Amino acid sequence: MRRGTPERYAYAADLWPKNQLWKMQGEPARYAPDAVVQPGTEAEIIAICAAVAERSVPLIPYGAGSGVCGGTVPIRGGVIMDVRRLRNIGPIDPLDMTVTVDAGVIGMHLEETLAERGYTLGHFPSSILCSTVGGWVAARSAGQFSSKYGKIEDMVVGVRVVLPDGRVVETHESQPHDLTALYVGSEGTLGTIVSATLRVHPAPETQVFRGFRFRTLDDAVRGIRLLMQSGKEPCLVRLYDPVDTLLHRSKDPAASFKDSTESPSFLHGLLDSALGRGAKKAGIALALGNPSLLNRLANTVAAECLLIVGFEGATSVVDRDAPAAWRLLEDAGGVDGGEGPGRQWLEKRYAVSFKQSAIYAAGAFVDTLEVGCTWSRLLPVYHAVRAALAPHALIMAHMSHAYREGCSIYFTFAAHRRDPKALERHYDRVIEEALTAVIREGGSIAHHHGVGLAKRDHMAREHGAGLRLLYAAKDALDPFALMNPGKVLPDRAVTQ
Amino acid sequence: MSARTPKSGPPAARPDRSTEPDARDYTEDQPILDTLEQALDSRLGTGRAGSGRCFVPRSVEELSTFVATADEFGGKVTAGPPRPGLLAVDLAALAGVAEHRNGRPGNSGRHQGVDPISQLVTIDYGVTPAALDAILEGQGLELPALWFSDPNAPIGRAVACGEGGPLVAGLEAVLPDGAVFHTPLAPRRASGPSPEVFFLGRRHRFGFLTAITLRVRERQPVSWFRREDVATDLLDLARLRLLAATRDRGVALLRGAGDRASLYVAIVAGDAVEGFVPAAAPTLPPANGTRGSWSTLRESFRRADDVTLTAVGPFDRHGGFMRGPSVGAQSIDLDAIAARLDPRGTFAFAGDAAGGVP
Repeated sequence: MRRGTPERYAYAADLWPKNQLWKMQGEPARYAPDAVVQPGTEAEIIAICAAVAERSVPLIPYGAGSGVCGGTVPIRGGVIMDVRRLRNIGPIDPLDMTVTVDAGVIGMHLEETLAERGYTLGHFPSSILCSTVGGWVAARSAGQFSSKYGKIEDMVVGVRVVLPDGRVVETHESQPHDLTALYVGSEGTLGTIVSATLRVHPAPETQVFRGFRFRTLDDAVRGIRLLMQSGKEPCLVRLYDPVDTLLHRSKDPAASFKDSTESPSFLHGLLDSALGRGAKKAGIALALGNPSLLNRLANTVAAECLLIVGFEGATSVVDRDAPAAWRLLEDAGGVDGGEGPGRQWLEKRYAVSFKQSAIYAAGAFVDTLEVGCTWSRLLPVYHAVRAALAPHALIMAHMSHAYREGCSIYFTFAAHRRDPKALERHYDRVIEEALTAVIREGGSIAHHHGVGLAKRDHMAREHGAGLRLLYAAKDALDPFALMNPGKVLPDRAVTQ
Repeated sequence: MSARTPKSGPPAARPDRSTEPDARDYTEDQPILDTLEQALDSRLGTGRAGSGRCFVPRSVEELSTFVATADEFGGKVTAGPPRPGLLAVDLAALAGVAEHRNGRPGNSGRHQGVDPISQLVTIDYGVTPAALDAILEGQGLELPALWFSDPNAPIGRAVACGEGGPLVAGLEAVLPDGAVFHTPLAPRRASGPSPEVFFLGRRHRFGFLTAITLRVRERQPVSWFRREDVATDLLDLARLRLLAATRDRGVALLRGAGDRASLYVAIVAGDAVEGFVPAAAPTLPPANGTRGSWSTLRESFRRADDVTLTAVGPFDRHGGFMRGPSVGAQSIDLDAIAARLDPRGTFAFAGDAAGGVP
């Protein structure tokens, strides 16, 4: 156990932008834990559960702190339990094609280990270098190849969980009373995930990518819908809206599209494009000072959309499906742009937001919002969120994580205020208006970032009466509400 | 049946108690109802519901009132035939293709009936696979074959018993206090755990399942092929086909007897499959409830006389697990959660082994 100030500060924040906004107001650790523990065994976790229960101290399971929704922020103090010493990767069951992995294993370590054995999990979140298996399961993570391999909930066969009372439960989807789906997405509020059994796949023999340009977003959305409903299984589907496409093209007139919307270079790229590198900090205020104008300008100039599609797997299957997919997309109005965009995306695929501080230091914020929609609600949600945020923030989006019945929209937005407190209020307003638009138009508030604190107060509108099922589970499994308090479920007083 | 007497009469319309489980909004100008039977007669019509009778709801709203009244007056409900001391309901009477309840597309209301763009359909509990397929045919869509063991039984019952899980994209249910609950409709979510976990295969332990949103697909002609061989060899063959990216419409192992079995596959394009012969579309035997991983399936094949692996295919990309009905098993944690959700035990008998599922 560690109680020192450095540890307490280090574990006070994840990558939720509100932590940055609080730092700008002189609060580097608005909510610090009272202590940090790093158990190395399940037995130690059980002992920790007993100790905190005896003292009625909150306990917050912690992976690598890469969450962007405040899911590990210790708002009521307590003990943060870092599980990264749990890092065993079990043998692969070649018949069932599964592997059991400890919660603390870093994603890339798992993928590299599987690759050495001739397998892949197929889960490649952009945070794969700084996120854990336990965190993936707890927050219902999605990887960049989810169109082929599914989200983490599609991969989890079972989990092993230490409940707040110290009992250990091991779930398996073949059990008639299986509760795997209850623990997946519970974000540490019901217990501590110590390991997960995951489906694996043969390592791909080949991988191909292709870029396509579409004249309109509607055409492009139709194209990817038809692709997903054709029965082919692309691993990657990323469709950039006109503004996002424009940003990339302006950075590279030769149309070497680079995926920066999930990277710290998003706003830098914007300013590099508009102002040149020398005026970056001062330019942030200028660029974002009038988002309505900037959005109108961008919409006027922006024209086409970029789509990147990839296939991987057995060579015979890829050779069969990829050309057919290219033809389908061309028939839908796409213009083949070759392999370049996909290959360049691949090079930058893990460039996540480690270095946001320059943007925040300039008095601005940048954040993302990932929502899920059926195909019939995709464009209404997209347009509604853009309309809601256009007066308040520069906004762009890409569609990714496509499935047969729908797709995720990944919005990126940025705004500026001179006063840090005003910036936080503005941030709250932007999130509120965006999520209100999502729910009103029939989308789901979260596709793969989880709920944490960021979306907690929208859960009642997301689930309605169904929230009571989740309260019942919380009350039954964690009757003293010690597990990661304040996360996922809104305070009942608020919902009333 | 013993029945509690409430302190005063019920409200004319039920308040939204979705987040306020113990609230009551009594009004003084309502008639005082002394018994459960009186309350049911008053709210639903004389003689429509009561102990020893089977209530036939005309709508989800009526079912909500029925359950809420039972909950308020201490009644116990069951989704089954009439039984002494219990309030039975015929969920199969709800048998339409759902429409937007409130005219809004948002997730707060019931989901669209047939959504051909998203290839989804929302149906009431009592719609059968055969009836649904007739509806979908007009839209150029189809329900994937082999997911439900009985084409003439309510899909809601099959889902409540554990069939068709990967096809289910959303659902509607009436909770033990009468509140109506819809899952948010999205291809995938990360907004906490999936509430579906409380309904798929749970036999109404946490509420009455009333509508289901199913994944459907474009209607395309398929050709069936069959191969007869040693059961375990066929199991491995099925596993390998599923692990590879195939466009098979469905894969079924049927009638494994001793060490022999037949493997059926369906191919969209109609191309011949090496080692298989053309065959008629198979029908499923009554689902036997066995579930398990590939390794447990192999053991099952070695031991069992008749094992069926149903309908793994495009909607179940990862395959590998038999989808059979649940056996109504309980667990400590499920019981504890149910007790919190339903403190009066209104649904204590809704899905027990004796009550079954209608």
